Amino acid sequence: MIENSTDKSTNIPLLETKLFVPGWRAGMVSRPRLVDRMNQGLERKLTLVSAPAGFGKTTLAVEWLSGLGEGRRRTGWVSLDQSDSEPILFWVYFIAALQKVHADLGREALALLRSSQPPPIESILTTLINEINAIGEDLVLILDDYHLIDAPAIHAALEFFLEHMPPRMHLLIASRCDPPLPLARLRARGDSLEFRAADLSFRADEAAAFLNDVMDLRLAPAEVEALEKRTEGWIAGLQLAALSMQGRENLPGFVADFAGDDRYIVDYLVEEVLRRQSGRVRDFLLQTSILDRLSGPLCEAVTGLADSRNILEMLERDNLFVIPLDDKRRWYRYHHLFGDVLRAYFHEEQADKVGLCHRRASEWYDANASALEAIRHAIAAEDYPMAARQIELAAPALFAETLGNTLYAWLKRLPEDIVRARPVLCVWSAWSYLDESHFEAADARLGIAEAWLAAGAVPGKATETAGPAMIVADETQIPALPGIIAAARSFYTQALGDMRASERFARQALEQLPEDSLVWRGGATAILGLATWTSGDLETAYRYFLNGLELIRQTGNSHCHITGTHVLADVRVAQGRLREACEIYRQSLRYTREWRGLVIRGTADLHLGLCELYREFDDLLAATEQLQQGRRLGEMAALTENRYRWCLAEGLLEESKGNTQAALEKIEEAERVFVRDAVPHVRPLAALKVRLWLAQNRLQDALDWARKHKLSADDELSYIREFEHLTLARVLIARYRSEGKDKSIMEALRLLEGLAQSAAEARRGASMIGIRILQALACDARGDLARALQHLQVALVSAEPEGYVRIFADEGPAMRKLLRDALATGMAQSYTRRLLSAFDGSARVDSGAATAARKNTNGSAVLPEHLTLREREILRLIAAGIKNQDIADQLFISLHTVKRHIANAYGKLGVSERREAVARASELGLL
Amino acid sequence: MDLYEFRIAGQLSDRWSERLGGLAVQRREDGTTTLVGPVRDQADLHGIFIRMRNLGLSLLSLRRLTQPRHNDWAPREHSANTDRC
Repeated sequence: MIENSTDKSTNIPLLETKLFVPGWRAGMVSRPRLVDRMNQGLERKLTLVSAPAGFGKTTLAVEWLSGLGEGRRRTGWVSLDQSDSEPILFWVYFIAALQKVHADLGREALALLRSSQPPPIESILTTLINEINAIGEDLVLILDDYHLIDAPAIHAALEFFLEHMPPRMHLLIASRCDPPLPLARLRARGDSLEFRAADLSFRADEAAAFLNDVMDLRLAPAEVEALEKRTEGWIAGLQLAALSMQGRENLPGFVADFAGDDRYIVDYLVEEVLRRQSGRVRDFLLQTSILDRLSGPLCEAVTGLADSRNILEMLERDNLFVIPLDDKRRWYRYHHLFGDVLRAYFHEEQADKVGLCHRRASEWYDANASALEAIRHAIAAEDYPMAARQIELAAPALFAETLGNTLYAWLKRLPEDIVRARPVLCVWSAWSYLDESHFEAADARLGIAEAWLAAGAVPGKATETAGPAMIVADETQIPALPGIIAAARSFYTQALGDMRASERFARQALEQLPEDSLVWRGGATAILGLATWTSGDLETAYRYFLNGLELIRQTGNSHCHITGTHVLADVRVAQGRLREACEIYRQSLRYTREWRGLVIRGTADLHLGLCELYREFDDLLAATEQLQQGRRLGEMAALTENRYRWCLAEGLLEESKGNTQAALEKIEEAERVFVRDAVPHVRPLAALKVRLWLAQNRLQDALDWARKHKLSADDELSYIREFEHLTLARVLIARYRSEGKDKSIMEALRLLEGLAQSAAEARRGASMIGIRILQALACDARGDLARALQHLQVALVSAEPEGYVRIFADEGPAMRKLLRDALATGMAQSYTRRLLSAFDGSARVDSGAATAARKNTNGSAVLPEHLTLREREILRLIAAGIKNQDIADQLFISLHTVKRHIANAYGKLGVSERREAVARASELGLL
Repeated sequence: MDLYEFRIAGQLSDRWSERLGGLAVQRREDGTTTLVGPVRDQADLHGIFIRMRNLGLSLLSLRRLTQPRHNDWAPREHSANTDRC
């Protein structure tokens, strides 16, 4: 059995041999001059050993470690290989190596890495860094063979880690090429120490120590010098030379021949070394060169030699470039350079055996439950049917372990006809295409899988309709297949904007999926929610989406509702339930705070959502603050699909401050970064611009927009175009004001009437208020004040409980005039007054306290409506005995802002301390 | 597809040709080796670098033997010189 340790939370087996810290062995040359320098570099962050193959990088690290002493520094080691270019695997090994030092280290970070939807890597690393800091021990981590890492994401994350690395930790990277880290900056800051080929080459005295003391060759100084010169101090070259000379009679003759020969050292010497081996050992060396790791049983399976274990031990004894990977003499590997050379010889001399050896290795790994290695060798053997079988069996586990990218990469290696014959693989490869937004290719694969299922094909039997036989390796995946196919279809039809098809497929998926397919059921239910939202049935949409998130959460993805929060809140906003939307965001924010230092993707968007809501409440200070708070969390905390919304929020804030041109520019910026995603886009940016044009009297541009989008008052109405039709009504009212043609205003009123009806039917609260407002403005424009006020009153009555302000205030002078008329008739007195006070624009934002103070020194009566909603909210919390900091926490605003609100409220109430404020506020009926 | 010439230190045996992307191996009297052959694109070129690195070979020089195309990255006014170097 291959030795591995499997964490309970996962199926990824860790190869213990990769974490083995190699020990000092006989036959190594001690290099005190380098070790001294390394010790001096210990106080820096990074030691970089960067040199080509065969310069003794690993050996140097081993000697250095063995001299550090157990007690002072504790050491973790990772021997990297190609498969570690998968970021999750890389960091799992990184942490596993640290756990060799301290068993509890990185436990939390590891759990996050293995969650089914891991947070951004920076947050995981932040958690890890905190954990390392907390144990307060010196520790050294070695990453050997870092040149095998070929993933920019890993380099970037390692750079982040180095930047924030705890002071008591030291990192050593050994690599054949300079890693893409900011080396110049590290050097300049004195954070790194480097050892390069020139430092690592054997000097004459080291060459002599190696050849004469270690290898016992008793060479004359001139011969040592000749060898050192010929190899230029390249250690692997000297080792090969020494091996070629062992047991040879005429050493001076060998040295003279070698020194006088121009051949590539490796060619010359490997031939010498191989020539001295028996045929059996030579075959063994060549055939096992395809293996990354060597063990007796594995080598026996590959070569058929029953004494493989003895051969390995003999190779180790004779220094033939095998390196033990544990201290039990079970696993070895070839020195990388020697292994490469052997492979080249193998391909040249026994090309016909290469495939066979890979196939045998694959079979051995398969039998020993090591799927990753088995698949790798099957692909190398070009035995695609075998690879396909193994991939199919491993796919669900890989998918659940977030190794989807590895799975997708393998699927791409399989020939087309191999995949086509296998419905299960067709579906997995469809998801790999969906992942890259190759919808047509995905659709084609789904079609093939469906054809197999529809034909009722029996595995292994050819059918007339589908041609050759269908192949199924894992029967247990078949029952869920039709449902997964439908879920895949609902996913991409949604992305393509075909909501009706998406809804149909999502429903089909839910009908067909087995009850225990939680991930797929959850995904399909959430998509159904989005499709229903698009159709305008908001309450149903909300329920579907929430259920979908709940199902996904049951699979262990506890963060999914953070990414889904804005969808839930948006639906509530559309329903006109602003306070509930606020609570949804706050609840999610409380959840993210439970994760302390960790940044969960989507957290920034929660602040963005609150910003939008606070702006509607006309608390522009708090709105701006939310925006800044969200931005401070950084890109990694934000959903990429929401990027445009940040610009949009800034634009709307500018609009509310009365800066129309700045608002327009922000919305244009939003258009530039807009990316289409599956969430229905119910507030098109182009239409938002039209509103601002109208405020700038750019009627012609607005009319052109309406023409371009083929909008007319006689259109069939649908929710997805509602915002555009509302905007059209606005344009028609503006046209009437400008040109005075009855036709425009009649069209506007007819259109609004239709919109009002469908919004009322679907109980879309926000739409209903917006429509009433426009109806009021339209009636007022044609001089029908009585009707105008009727409409306005309905709007006011539904808007007041939810705290709407900007929906009125952003309408500008026409609305201000209408509200004054309303006030004159005594309509909704306090609310109307509060709304009127919001028309002052930016001046009010900056000098709220000043005006309040002025009012009081004038001795005028304080009216409740002079207090903003936020001030009243805070007063209520003060009355409940809640401390300022807790108020700040509860409302997700800064302590500073709480104090400013309190100061403003005190000013308006004419009080100077807490108790007085509470008494006064309760007198005024504000609590 | 462009034709490239790599010059490396030491005389390399023919067996490396296949491992180095099928380049033709020519050993020279000055103790160096030139490897000449078509290189599909930049990715292919970098793959050859990595294989040379893994064999511990020292690359002495590299040049492209084919004439740069007009839409190529090489500035047009220099294209006349490329054959010479």
